Amino acid sequence: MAIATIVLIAVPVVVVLWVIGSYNGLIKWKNQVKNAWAQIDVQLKRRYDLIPNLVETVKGYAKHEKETLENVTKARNMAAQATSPKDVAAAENVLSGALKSLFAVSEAYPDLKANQNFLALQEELSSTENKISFARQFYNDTVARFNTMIQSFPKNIMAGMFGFQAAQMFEIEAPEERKAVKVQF
Amino acid sequence: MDTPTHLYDQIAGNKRKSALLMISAVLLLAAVGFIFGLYYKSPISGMLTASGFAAFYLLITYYAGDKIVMLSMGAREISKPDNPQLFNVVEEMSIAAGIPMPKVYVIQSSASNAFATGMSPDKASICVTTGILQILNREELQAVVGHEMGHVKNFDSRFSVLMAVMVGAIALMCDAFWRMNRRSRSSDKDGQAQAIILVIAIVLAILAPLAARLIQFSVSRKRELLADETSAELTRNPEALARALEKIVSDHDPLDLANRGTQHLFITNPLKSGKDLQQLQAGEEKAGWFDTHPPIALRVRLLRKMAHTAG
Repeated sequence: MAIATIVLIAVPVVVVLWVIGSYNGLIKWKNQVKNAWAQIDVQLKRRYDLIPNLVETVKGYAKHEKETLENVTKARNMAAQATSPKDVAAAENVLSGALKSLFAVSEAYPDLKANQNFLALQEELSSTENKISFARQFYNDTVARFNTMIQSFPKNIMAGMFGFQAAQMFEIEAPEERKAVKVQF
Repeated sequence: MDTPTHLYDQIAGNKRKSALLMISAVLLLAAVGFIFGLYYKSPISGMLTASGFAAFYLLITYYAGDKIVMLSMGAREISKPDNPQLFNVVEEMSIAAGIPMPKVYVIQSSASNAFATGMSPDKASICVTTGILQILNREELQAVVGHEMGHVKNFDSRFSVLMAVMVGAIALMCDAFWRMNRRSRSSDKDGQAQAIILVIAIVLAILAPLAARLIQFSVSRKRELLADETSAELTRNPEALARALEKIVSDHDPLDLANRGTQHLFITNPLKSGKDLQQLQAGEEKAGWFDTHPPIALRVRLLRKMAHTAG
């Protein structure tokens, strides 16, 4: 068996294996991106489900804060119905603001603050906020890796051939958040 | 944003270094097997024997499972109602890491420490002491859980089992060498070559187990730093872990449930808390060769450096 024959057989085999490997890698990461996005959704829904409970608990103690409570409920319903990512992001901002006002207002009601239910809900909501933010973080990290993968050589050849496209980062630009950072010394 | 790039570089670097160390352990094992085999005139069977030992150890320790570790320490699994905050913190970190949520265990002890076990992320457990729950705030607890999650995500339990297998196999082979020595076969024809091989074999039999242990400890320290970096990656808050480490070490109640076999699993070595505090106060950053964990001062400084580059 001449060396030439061996090479002629081995090279295509190696190339085919590499193509299969790269393609599978790209598929895996593409699905991870999808998965990561779905995870954000899960956490957002969780927040929507917690809020009616919170409103009920607060109502019992802070009868005068009707307006604040209504704001929260309204914002929550809007966010739950939003569909496009931009609308979701905007509605989420409003909801976060409304929740902040609600918790600020509750500071004036010591009975409410001592209520176990309220404390548990606060922990749950705060944890859910964290989860949303971590889910976004993970999503963005995954997208970054995926995009880098399909843009670097040699996988970009594969990506081009099979039509893999860069995914979009999830940016919620909250102007209030930006301002808060600037205030730090 | 600059931080992810720096962090990923650091993490990649650490993974490379530990892979290299692992490879040197494997090479050491192969060399030992080869030389001994050469001495007994069959290097191939020497290497096969070495692999045989390794495989045997691996199977046993792989399936022994983390349940045994937890049982031996008296850890109790908790569900959400038992400690919602702890549960939430673990859940948050597993979302950030993109892995299934590990089981959560708690040990009743005034000593503050935490550890993680599990051969793969979907079969993992994280354990904390009641002591640590008392001294850390939510942010710092999250950083510690992040560190443990890092161990899970980086397959560190599996890694350390593999290392232990290497070390054990090398030790066993060297031991076998001493026993079998009396029955060696030598022919007069290649007496001199035999003598040289014998010398090499003896030197290896003495030094290889020690070298293997040193490699093992070095790998353990690298993986600890890697877990610190992963915690920073997950929380984006390295300062919290730095503070948590300082608090843990200052509260130096030894955890008497740990022993030399399990010490490497914890976030700080539970058998050395007093010494850790002294080292931290002295600003000592060089690790001893037999240390399972890097010095706290070094860990804290690296974490704070990350915090500043985030800028």
